[in-house]
Amino acid sequence: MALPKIDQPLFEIIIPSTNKKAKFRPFTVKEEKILLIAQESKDQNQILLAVKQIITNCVHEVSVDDLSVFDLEYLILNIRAKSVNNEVSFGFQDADTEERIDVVIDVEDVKVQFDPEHTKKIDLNEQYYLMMKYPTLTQISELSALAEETSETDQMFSTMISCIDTLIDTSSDEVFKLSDFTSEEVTEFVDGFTTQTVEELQKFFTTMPKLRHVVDYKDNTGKDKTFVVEGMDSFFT
Amino acid sequence: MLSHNNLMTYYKNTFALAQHHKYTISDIENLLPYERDLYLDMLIDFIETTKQQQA
Repeated sequence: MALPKIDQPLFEIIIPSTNKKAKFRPFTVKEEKILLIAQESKDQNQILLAVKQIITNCVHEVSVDDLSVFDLEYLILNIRAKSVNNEVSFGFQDADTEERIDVVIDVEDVKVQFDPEHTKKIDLNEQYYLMMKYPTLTQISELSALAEETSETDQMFSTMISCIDTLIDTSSDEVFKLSDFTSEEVTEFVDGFTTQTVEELQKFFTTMPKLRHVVDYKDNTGKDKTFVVEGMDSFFT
Repeated sequence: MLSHNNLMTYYKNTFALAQHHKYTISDIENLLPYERDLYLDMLIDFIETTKQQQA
């Protein structure tokens, strides 16, 4: 394999979910076109695919398929800051006065927010506990493809299963990777969870880290208000 | 996130730079977006200054 040709400046970034450093380069005009075509299509899947393609091209030493959605959101926003500029302008309608509010966000101020109550460890009983992993873009795409065919409960169940990484036996320190088992075995295992465990699993998803930014503004009556920008949809439309 | 540009402006600017100012499309495509925007701004300034000098 030939050595990579370094003809663009490199920058360092910390991947939020792993806290590990990675290097990235800005995207080029040619790559900007990929994002613009996806944006023009207004198709969520095409936008996700374009984002994934740009991150694969620009970020070194990282497997995009292993990254969580909030990692990808954080990465693409920072790559955009170094490629275009660090200010993103957009408008929204005030819910009370219905006036249009135009704001400018400094991308450097947008951080992944971690809930202090969030944990990846879910205790099953005194002997066993689960270690969770964050949903990746591939998993979300697969689950949304099934959304039309399955019920909401089944989707929630599938999401839960896909995000269980390992089962740990504290008595023997044995680690069971759930991907080593058949889907029937995993389903049978998950069916045995207590209500409390399911609630803990739900809490894992509701308190999951998010790319979130609060914008302060004044409406036309002079009242102080806030607008929350959160997740891929808000940042990429 | 892409409020700075849209597909139509992208093609218009690329065409103008290639057609009127002798850049090749691959040269433009290999620039970073902010570099292209800087060159465009400098080019507009240059054309304005030249026009003023000729008037």
